[in-house]
Amino acid sequence: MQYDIIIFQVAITISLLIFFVPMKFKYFSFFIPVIMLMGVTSVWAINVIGMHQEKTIELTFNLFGQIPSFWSTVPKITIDQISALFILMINLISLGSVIYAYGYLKSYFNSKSALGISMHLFSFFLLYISLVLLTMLRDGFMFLFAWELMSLSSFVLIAFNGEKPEVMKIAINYLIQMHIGFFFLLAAFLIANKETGIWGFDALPYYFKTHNNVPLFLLFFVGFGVKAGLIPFHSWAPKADPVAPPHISSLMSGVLVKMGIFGILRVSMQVQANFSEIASIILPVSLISILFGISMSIYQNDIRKLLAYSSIENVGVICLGISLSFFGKAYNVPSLCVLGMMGAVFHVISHSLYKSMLFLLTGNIERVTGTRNLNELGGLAKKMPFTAAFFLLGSLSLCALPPFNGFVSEFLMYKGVFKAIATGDFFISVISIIVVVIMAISGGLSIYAMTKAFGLAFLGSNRKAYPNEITEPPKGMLLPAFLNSTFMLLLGLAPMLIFPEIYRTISTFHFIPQNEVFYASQVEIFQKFGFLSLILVSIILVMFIIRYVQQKRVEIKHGPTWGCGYSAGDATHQYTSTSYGSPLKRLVSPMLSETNTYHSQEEEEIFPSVRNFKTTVKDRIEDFTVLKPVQFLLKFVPKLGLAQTGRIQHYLMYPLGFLILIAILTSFKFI
Amino acid sequence: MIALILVVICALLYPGTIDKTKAILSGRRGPKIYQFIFDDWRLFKKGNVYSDKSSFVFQISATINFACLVTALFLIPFPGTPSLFSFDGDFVFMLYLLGLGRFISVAAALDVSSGFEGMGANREVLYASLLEPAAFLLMGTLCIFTGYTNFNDIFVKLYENEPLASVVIIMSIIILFLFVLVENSRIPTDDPNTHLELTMVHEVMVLDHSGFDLGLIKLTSALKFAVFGSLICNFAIPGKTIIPGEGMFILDIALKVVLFMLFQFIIAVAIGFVESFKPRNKMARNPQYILSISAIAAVLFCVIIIIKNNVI
Repeated sequence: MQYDIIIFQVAITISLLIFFVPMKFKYFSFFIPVIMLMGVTSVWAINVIGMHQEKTIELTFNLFGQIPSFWSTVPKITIDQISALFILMINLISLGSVIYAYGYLKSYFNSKSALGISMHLFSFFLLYISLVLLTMLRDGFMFLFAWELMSLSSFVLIAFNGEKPEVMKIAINYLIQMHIGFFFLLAAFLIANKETGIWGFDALPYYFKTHNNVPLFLLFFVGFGVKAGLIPFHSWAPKADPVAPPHISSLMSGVLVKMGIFGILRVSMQVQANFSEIASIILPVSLISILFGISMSIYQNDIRKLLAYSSIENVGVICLGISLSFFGKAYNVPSLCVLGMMGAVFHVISHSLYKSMLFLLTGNIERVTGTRNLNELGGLAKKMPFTAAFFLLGSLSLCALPPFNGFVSEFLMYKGVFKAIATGDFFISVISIIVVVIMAISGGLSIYAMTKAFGLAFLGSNRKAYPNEITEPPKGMLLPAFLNSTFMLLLGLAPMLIFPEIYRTISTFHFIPQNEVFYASQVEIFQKFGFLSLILVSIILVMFIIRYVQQKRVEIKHGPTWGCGYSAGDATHQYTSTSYGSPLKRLVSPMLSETNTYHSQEEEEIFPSVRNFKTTVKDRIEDFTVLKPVQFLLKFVPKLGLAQTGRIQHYLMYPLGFLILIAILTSFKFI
Repeated sequence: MIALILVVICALLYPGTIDKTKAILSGRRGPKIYQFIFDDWRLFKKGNVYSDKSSFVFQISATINFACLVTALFLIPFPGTPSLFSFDGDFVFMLYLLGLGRFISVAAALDVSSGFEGMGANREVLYASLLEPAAFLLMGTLCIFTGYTNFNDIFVKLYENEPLASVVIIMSIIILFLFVLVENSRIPTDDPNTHLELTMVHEVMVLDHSGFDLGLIKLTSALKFAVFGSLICNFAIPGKTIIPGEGMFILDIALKVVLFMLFQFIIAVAIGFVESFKPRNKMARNPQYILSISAIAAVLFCVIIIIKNNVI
């Protein structure tokens, strides 16, 4: 027996204690096993990354020790480069959420039941295990088991405040959508198994070599795409992210969504042919995700909904990288092939860093103000400078601005795309220029969205009176943000830290061309890139010093805001969330439908009463993919209620009828 | 390195030149073209007034915006000599540096809780996101035309081949010129001189800045002119690589410096002309106008790709 396996088993055992220890220790009996597992898995991952001479390194353990093999195959975990990268990412992001969870749950220790807290912590633990296992499991059955574990445990976590009916409704909506995705995956694995006799991802190379690659890839793409929140399977994300506790929505947007991407990467690294067809399927999906996600996010009033829609955009960017890479392969542009995939993998890491941080910070806002509505927020930066500063860093990184990590990943893609344009090939150039234009627009729009989120929540003055005094949260709730933003800056200023590792990871994909000269030139570019980012930062610092000295020597006055001659200005004159987004409305009106509900004034009404005006923005794609089909089903499904008579005799009759039917069908050789 | 110094000198003279042109065209004598330097210097020595509503974001904004433009200077090549940092995709870096500056200045505008500045802020971000495709389309056109993906190689290559180059060069200059007008918030999308806040875009965002910060903002805007102006110069001046030590080296450099300054001067005068004779767009027409710049760039791209690939 190896020690790491023993630690694994001990950790799982300790976690069961959550249910039995008193409230004070519940968190610790959750924290300790999670940290143990993080340690073990990180060591595994670092070992794999360290041994980088070989292309794939497989460390095989028997996860369940000496359990007699009533399973035909003992479940094995295999760590290759890409799992190692994902494990490190999951550990880092989860660590932040786990630390934050303590601060968040502390205020619920009195109001929630012991069982509620235990369930929450235990599901959190299960979620973490399932995430880590998913990256390492190759066997189809075990993978689907872990996938299901992830969906179920995250369902329990979303429903933390499930005593509110709307939260429960959203959680169930999430659960149903996840299971629809699950069936696609199940079908995909079954098809692969039927043709090759192997259960799991190992079947794919054989299957893809002998069959058309498109249908099976499409099944996987839909199954994983539901999790990743790609358009048109996105509708769960903007609903579930706002109602879940902040550490959970941070984990969902930062990591859970990335498991969908992980699945897509896992499948796409096995694809053998039909690159061009597959790429032309992914490309429109990702471009629509990008444009739709970012334009919808500009209209949201709920700050977390805004971030959730921006996650859809970012997932689109990741898939865009994958599809560009496929195009590069299909049309023989090696630089696009390499840079697209590198951009995708880099963006997975970038996005999980800043998005998880931003979600945690929205938790800090909600904690003191009790609202997530941007129309009621404002002026938090003066009272919560640290939260504001971290949120600013996160927003800058989200907008892919230098010198942050988000820019590095988008830069990689831009570079690949421009290289492809420079080849001059007609088809690939046209595709590339479309991609460039959409990325440019979305870059501009994400600045729009994030100045809205940051500006309206933190800057200016408060639009409504806050119920509590505004203070910074305890240090434990800022620590994760500090951790993430350190990594963000580090990766932005010195992308070389992680660049070789990502290159090694993607070079395990069989279709990525290996070219040392090309790699060396990229390294050189990124050294210059990092140096220029450093220059930017140092110029900023120097200017700050100059400014500081100058400000010491002159008179500093404070006064009211320039009101353009209108002296009665107050907070209600500020732009609100709705008005800030309105200029874009006419341009993107086909994509969204806005309904205004108000009570118009009657003619003979002499003394008008108080009136309300409500604007709701509807997600049109959700209408088509979820609401309309559900309404359609609701027309027919209630008719089936006829069969539910409530009499045991009738219920016994149904199996009898079924048996008779089977007997008839078999006797006539129909089945 | 030459470019860096020249761009800074041009930047200091840009606002003065534009104002002088406008003054002469409207029959006034106008201030001297180096008046801007004195004005700005005076601002640097002044104290600041901060709004009670503002937070730290307001105070760091102008500085960061300025630093972005200074960093962008490192990416500007001088005809014939590469920029200090030349790498594939450097124009992406430059455009995103401007994005960083925009983000932070918009944040500062929202920080003073003024309705006017919020109005300017959201117009600014909207126009920027509509304008960005034009720049990327133009760079895409240059990439497909030359086969290179960084400023320096593109400019060198432009003067090496094909009769078509002249078309690309002229069109690029036109697109860049239109781009500069919008990016720097000049007429026809915006008017720096208007006194009606409701029609202002960029200028309204800096209403509350004063002293050192205002000086930096004015300098940043001047630098932005000079940066794009020098890109136009790079198009206009043949960028044959200069090899140090050859006979005509000094003369060559001197000629290019003169040409560079001359072109910058022409651009500044041209901006003055546009501002004097063109009316300002209606606010609602602005998005359409900005998108039309992208449309011109898209047409150029289509033409080049069709000719390059002999599609027709």
